[in-house]
Parts: sequence; C-alpha cells; structure tokens
Amino acid sequence: MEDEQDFIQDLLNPKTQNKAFQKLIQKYQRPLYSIIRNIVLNHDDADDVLQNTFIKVFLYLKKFKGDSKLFSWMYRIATNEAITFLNQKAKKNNTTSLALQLKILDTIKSDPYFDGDEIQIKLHKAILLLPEKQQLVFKMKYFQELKYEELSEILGTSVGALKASYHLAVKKIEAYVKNN
Amino acid sequence: MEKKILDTKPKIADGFRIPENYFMQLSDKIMSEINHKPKTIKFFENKKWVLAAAAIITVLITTSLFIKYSTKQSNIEIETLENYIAYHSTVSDEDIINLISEDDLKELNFDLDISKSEIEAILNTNSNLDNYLID
Repeated sequence: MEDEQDFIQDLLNPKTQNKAFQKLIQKYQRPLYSIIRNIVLNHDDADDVLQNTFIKVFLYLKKFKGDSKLFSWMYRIATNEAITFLNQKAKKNNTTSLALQLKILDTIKSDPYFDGDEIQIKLHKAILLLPEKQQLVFKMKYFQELKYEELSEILGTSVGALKASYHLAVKKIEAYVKNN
Repeated sequence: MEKKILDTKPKIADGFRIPENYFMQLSDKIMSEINHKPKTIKFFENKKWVLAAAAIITVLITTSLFIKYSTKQSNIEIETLENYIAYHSTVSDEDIINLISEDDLKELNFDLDISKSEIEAILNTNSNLDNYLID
C-alpha cells in the first residue's frame, strides 16, 4: 500500500473516500476476521463483528490521530468489538463469556464452518483457560504469526513482556494438553 | 524427549472455515451499509431551515418571556424591595459578614467618599467607640 499518510488522506477526502475504504476492507478483512473468529468462535458472529468493526473504523477515521499504524488501530477496534460482543451475548444468556465459549466448543464439531479435529478443540479449550491478554497474545502470535513489534503496538505492552507472556501461554497449553 | 504439540510442523491450524466467496462480497456489503447510514444524516442537513425555524421560535419565546418578566420587576418600587428585605429576611448582619470574604470586598471596590469631618462626627456620636479602641 502507498504511503500510509496519503492513504489516510484518501480515506478522509469525500471524493476518494469510497474507493479508498473499499481498498482498506479488501486488504485487512482476512486478518481482522481471523482474530475476531478466534474470539467469538462461530462464523455468523464473526461476520457481524467484522462488519461493525469496519463501520466503526469508517466513523472514527476522522479521530484517528496517527499515533499508531492504521493496522494496529483497526486491530484494537476489532478485538474490543469481539470481546464486547461476547460479553453482551453471555449476559443475554445469563452466563459468563468463558462458559459461553466452552459451550460453543462442546458442539463445534457440528459447525459446518469448522473442520478441526480433537487436537484443535483441545487447543482452543486450553487457550480459553488463559488470562484474557495472554489469550490474545497467543492467538495473534501462533495463529496469525504477527511480529512481537506489531503485537506491542496493538496491545500497548513491551516486547519483553509479550515474549514472557507468550512463553508462559505455551507452557500452560502444553501442560493442559498433556493432562487432558 | 517428549514432543510438544505446539512445536509440530506444520503448525496446528485454528480449524475455522469461511463460507465460499465470503470475502468477495464483504466489501460491497459494508459499503452499502456505510452509504446507507449517512443518508439519514443528509436528510437533516438538507432541512437546515427546520433548525433555523426552531432557533427563531426559541428566540421569540425567550424574548417574550424576558420582556414579561422584566416588566413585572420594574413595577416594583425600590423602596418596597428594601422594606421587604429589611423586614422579611431572616438573614442577620452577622450571616452576611460571615458570607463575605476578603476577595468579595475587594471586588466590590466601592468608593468611600466621606470627608474627615463626617467621620469625626460619626465617631463622636458612637457610644461604643471605647470598645473599638480597646479591640
């Protein structure tokens, strides 16, 4: 993509806005979908959250100060949207978001948009038992293969702390898989 | 040494599938949603005269109320007001003194245009003068 500042200007200019925004969606829809899906777990919810994320990005573009990269900023919006969505859904069902996610995983085998096997379900369950931030670190690093520097910008945590967090997450997951 | 599952190559995928053509249609879906929303805003923007009319009505009501209110006030004579405050108020001089701070006094900035002879005359007729001098 061309220089980010120029691209942001295109996004803000009413004449070039639509075309630029379409370009933005096409570039970032897959990585954003992936992190959202890994939080909400099913496709329909991920679709809702992803659409809301892009609409929010569009609405708040004027307020984007450029302190971080556009990608990190959108990533933050996407994760916040997904976590908020999950909490609201849990509240509606009179349960916690963890219980809701575990319930989804119990029946995920029958989901037409899941083609994992036992080991994958076990891995997702092990991730769910980690603290929230550690979950995000693990998912972004292991599944999405983001760099620590990118993670640092998204999560506002130092690279050193992120490395420690990821290492701890890996140890906990390995222990869970071994014992279950 | 026991092999760890997270070290396996290739990595374990998340297992999530996406409906076919999902990403091909998504941007159009989002764009139509976005372009649909501002239309509501445009409707109000085009109806600026509604806002202008509302503003004029507000000004008219406020002005008429103000005139009515200020006319009522001007009908009361100053003397009547003074009497009311003097005889119906439960606030004592002491209360007022306590409420007025040094800053309030400075802000008042009133001009005491009293001649020396007048001060002398007041002091001479004041029976509590000794008390003040002792203080």
